[in-house]
Amino acid sequence: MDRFNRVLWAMIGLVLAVVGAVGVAAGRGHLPGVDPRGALLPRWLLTRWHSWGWWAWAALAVAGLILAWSGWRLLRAELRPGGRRSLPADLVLEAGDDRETAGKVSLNSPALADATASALERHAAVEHAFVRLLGDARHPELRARIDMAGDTDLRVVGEHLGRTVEQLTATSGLRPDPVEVTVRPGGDTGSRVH
Amino acid sequence: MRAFNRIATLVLSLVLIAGGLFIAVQAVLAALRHAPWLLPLRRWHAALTSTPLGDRLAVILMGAVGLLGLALLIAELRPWRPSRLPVHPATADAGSEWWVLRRPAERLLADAAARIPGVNSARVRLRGRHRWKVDVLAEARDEDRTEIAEAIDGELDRLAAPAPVRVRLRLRSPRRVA
Repeated sequence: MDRFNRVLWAMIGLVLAVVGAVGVAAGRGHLPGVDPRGALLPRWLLTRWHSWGWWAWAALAVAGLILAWSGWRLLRAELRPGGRRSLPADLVLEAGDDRETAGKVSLNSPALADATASALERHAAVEHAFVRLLGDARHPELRARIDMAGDTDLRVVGEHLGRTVEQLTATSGLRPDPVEVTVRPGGDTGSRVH
Repeated sequence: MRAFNRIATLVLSLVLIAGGLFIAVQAVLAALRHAPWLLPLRRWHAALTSTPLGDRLAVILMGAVGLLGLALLIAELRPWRPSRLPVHPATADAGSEWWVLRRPAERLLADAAARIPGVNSARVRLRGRHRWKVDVLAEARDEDRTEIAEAIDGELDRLAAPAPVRVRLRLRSPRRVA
């Protein structure tokens, strides 16, 4: 989302800079063909607007609804981690062919994510863990945020996470791919030396 | 800047939702020849049709908008240091992606250098997107250089920083205590 936000605000900045520069140039009489004594809302634009009659208002109403819909999409994308949808809360797994896996199996995915975080926190190297399961039942993804205790080797955490994901697969049948892990080394209590 | 962008985008999305719905309602009211709702749109219309482009206040406002846009553009286009850096713990599954947060990693490396006896203070800056670049500035004597370099290397190894890491170590003479 960081890159998208950056491009979005760079574009907004560019538009504002161009609008400001053109506005100042027009107001100071430096823009060919534009009279600085003319109104901010020119007469010719009003005449054309009125000539469109009812359609102009209909087009404006549609434009307003499109803007509101774009805002809703933007808000939804911004509130999702990495722009991805979380696994459905009541996850129904596909039934297998043999007797052991036949029948409907439904899982509570937030509970599964919490259980995975708790399993991660059982290791002394992990001070705190936060896990999110994203995507859908066929293509689940796992994102973890781990606060690692100071003086810990990241390889220890890597090994522990591998075992925890194997447990998750064995318990639920979900095989998350990709698994993305962000580590805060030193945990919450890292001292500051500057 | 990342936090600013995120908050600004959230605000923008709310403004788009509220503004878009407001425009749609006003357009329907205008089409039905009803008076505008909530805002004095007729007064604004009169002001916009009677104020010239060369009006002093209008030019100042346009200039302010242009400068704001330029400042935003420069802030977004200048190079940013990454918020997290890639790591490759050998024990992790090959398909997994691992990252460490930059600021805590900088603190951890600075701590490692500052723990060495004789080092008064240490500051570490991390850069690089795929390969780490480490800048260390420590207040220490030259004879501590090897020990500081070893401490930094040890911490980088613990953090599973992908090799090769470029480490630049600069020392500043310790200040004398009067």
